[in-house]
Amino acid sequence: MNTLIERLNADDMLSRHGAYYTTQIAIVSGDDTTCFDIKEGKISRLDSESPDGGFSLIGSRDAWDRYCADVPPPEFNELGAMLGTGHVTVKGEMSVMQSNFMFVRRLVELWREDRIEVQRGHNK
Amino acid sequence: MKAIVDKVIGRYVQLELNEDTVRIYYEESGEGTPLLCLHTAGADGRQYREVIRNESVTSRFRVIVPDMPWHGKSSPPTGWQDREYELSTDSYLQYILAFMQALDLDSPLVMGCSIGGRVVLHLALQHAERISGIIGLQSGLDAGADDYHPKTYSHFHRHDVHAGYSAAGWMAALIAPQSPDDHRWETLWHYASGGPGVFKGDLHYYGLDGDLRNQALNIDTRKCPVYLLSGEYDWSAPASGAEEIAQRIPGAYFKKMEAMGHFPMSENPEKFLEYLLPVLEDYCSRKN
Repeated sequence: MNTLIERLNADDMLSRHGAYYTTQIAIVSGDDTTCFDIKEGKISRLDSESPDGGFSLIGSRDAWDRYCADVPPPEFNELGAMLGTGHVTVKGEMSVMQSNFMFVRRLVELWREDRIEVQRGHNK
Repeated sequence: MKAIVDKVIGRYVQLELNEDTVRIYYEESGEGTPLLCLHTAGADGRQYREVIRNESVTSRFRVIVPDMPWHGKSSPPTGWQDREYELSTDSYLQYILAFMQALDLDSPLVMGCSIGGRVVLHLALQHAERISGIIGLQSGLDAGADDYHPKTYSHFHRHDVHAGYSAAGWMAALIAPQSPDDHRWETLWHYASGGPGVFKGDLHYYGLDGDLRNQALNIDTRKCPVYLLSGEYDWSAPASGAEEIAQRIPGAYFKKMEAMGHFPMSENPEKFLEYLLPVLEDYCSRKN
């Protein structure tokens, strides 16, 4: 998790888009929840399963696994694709997500990269 | 370093649309049958930047790419600040026909993507005598009109959301993962740089007014050939929708484009041309 947090905070695109963004975001994959606290773009881990004033991105483990494939299939290639097709739903403040969707999609994209690397490490 | 100067030229033409006078920007290149190219919602003619300078196309076609009113380098009408832009089937067709008339285009082949892929069907249904064929990219009969609500797309036009980034963020989800990064981000730049409320206004046509589900698709493909090309990664106007259209129009051509999303000519032009050139070849052989 620390590696992921370091990766998120080192990302230039997230820094630029998050400069004025304060919220909490949870990624829910089946029974697993990863929660982030964001304060003006600075990201830290949150030991909670219910973001306060923010939102959760909720999908089955299978849906997120497809998103994390080397070449994701149609409908799973981006966060927006999974939201648009109902494979992932939003619980919480939709307007907070919409207000900075570039940040949100990038955060999830980096979470994906981290998850792929962790998975590869386990398979070695 | 030697500068590369395209043969593409840009011009303006003034159109009278109802009581509005609008200044339309368009680019053109090549000689032959007019090939009129219509961009997607919330974007502009830059999406066809590689088609218009491809010599396999311009050696046989006069490629013409306008920016719709309110889009790209085309102006909104005078008094834009006092109204909300909203595209309808009628206003879309009126603009296309006026543009064709202004440039004296004789029976063009008309290619459009997304909203353009829908309106070419309206054109073929209502004005087949004015055109010589259509190429629908990411065509669909509808885009969820039963669930349409004006607030569905409100995030593309509200004071507390950066509409450009919102549009770019969402449109990223319609681009195939295999598309080259430079073209992916150029496509998203077009979305990031749209005028306020324009994308949302276009989606009124895409999501509601342009619905074709309940219309008979009576198009005589012997007189007006219909070609439909659809990317497999498009979940907004899925390839299955275009395939259904092709099944309802005798003689229509359909091809699913592998590893392609909603913006084929812009997100992966090189790959797109592999699908487009055989279509143009077929059109030319039919015409001759």
